Amino acid sequence: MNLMAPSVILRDVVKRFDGDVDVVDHLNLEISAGHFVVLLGPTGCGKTTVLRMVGGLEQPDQGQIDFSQAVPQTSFCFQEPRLLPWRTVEQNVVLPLELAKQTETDRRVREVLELVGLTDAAQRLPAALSGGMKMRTSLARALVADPKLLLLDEPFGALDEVTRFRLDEDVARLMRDRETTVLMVTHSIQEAVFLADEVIVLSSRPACIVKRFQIDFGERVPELRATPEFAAMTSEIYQSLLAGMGESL
Amino acid sequence: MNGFFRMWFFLWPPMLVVAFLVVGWQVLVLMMGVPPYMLPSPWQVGEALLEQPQRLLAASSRTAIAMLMGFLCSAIGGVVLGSCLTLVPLARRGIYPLTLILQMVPLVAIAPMLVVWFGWGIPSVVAAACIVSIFPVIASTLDGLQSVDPGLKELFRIYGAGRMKTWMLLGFPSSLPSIFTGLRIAAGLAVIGAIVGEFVGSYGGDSAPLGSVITSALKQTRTDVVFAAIILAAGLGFALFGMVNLLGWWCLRRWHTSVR
Repeated sequence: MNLMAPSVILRDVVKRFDGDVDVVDHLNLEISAGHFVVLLGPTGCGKTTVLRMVGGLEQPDQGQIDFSQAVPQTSFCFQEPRLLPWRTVEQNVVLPLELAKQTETDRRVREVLELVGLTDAAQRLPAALSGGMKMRTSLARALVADPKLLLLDEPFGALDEVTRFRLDEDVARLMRDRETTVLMVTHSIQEAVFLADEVIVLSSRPACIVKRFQIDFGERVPELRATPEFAAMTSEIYQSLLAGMGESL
Repeated sequence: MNGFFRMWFFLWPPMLVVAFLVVGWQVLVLMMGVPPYMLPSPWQVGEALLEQPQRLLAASSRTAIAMLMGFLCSAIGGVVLGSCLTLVPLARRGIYPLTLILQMVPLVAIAPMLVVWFGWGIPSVVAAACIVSIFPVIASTLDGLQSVDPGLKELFRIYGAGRMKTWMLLGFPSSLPSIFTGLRIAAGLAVIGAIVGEFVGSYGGDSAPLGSVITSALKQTRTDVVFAAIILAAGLGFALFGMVNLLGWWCLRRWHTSVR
């Protein structure tokens, strides 16, 4: 149990859009403190809605979401990088600290840029960055305020496979020694198995839990993807995903 | 040299058109025998420009000052008002329709009232230039602030930014391309406003600005002087437009596609 990071509990959460379309149906879910949990499910099943409700961007129609801390320091990383085009990488990364009126930000920004490998690009504008570098900047901005709860909404979904693998490895490395609870949404089973301590498979809309998988692969190194255990877990989750969509192999 | 050729590349088509128009105008006046009081030839207009260069230069500088002051008032006032209307939705619903009055009421009709309210000379001319040019700035500021990327607004909400911080760090910079479009339109209108204001609100004699030069020259049927003053007024408009363009380029050059 990690005392610095919060645990998150969703109790009987219901979310409807336009009054009558059930997106999330009586969802009960506990996310342990300091765990990396990935929500996996078919497109449009309500994964992102769950994430946004945990982040306070949407309110549930029924039920409640509790944290073990009063107001956990929360950061988001979205599907798109959402960078300010007139600000350099460094200026984009410092934004959360600037809005929190923190001083002495230089050292923190330098550290986080080094962590994501963007030290040399600190003075470049977003227009001069590749897709992967933009997402790294977005990740650095999410990490700079040292969040206790990190919410990742398919952050690498628009990138090519190689860049995505590299960024997954970066995220695994960055999260290794942090006291952060991470909730991530993705479509990629491989990404989920590579990163997560726990994968939660959701059904088609309205989202409810099909199955939970505890992942215990120890250190996440690139070679892990080539192991039979990784392939077996991927296959098992795939079958569970199909079951959640009412299909089978 | 590269810069020179690039500038020449952009300048030669309009210069060629102007040259054709001037030559055509000269030929037309000569061939049809149009009397100078109806339409002076470009040559006569050129002579009028050189006849009293100091008087016309002084008149231009007076008009330029009024035009600049009117434009600055409309630029600052338009951005502030447009921003306030965005920050307070109730004010937008209540006040924005009324700002249309500034666009709808003919300036010529209210110019005499401006003299009553602000007195003779520069104040009423500045007011005329401001009134006629402020609406595009308000509308473009409002449009720019309402078109801010919702994803970025959400980002600022997550980080707990207040309205003013969101305006300063997100709304205003992201509205700059739209604001500069409004300022370009306002630059042209400020000249029109200043000249119309000078028709009714300016002193004559030695301290006459271009608007007064035009009215007094018309009374003497010196249409060559009228055209000379019009050309100078147009030159002022071009200069202001150019300055706004240059400022816009400088502000947006690094990140916005319109100037990159």
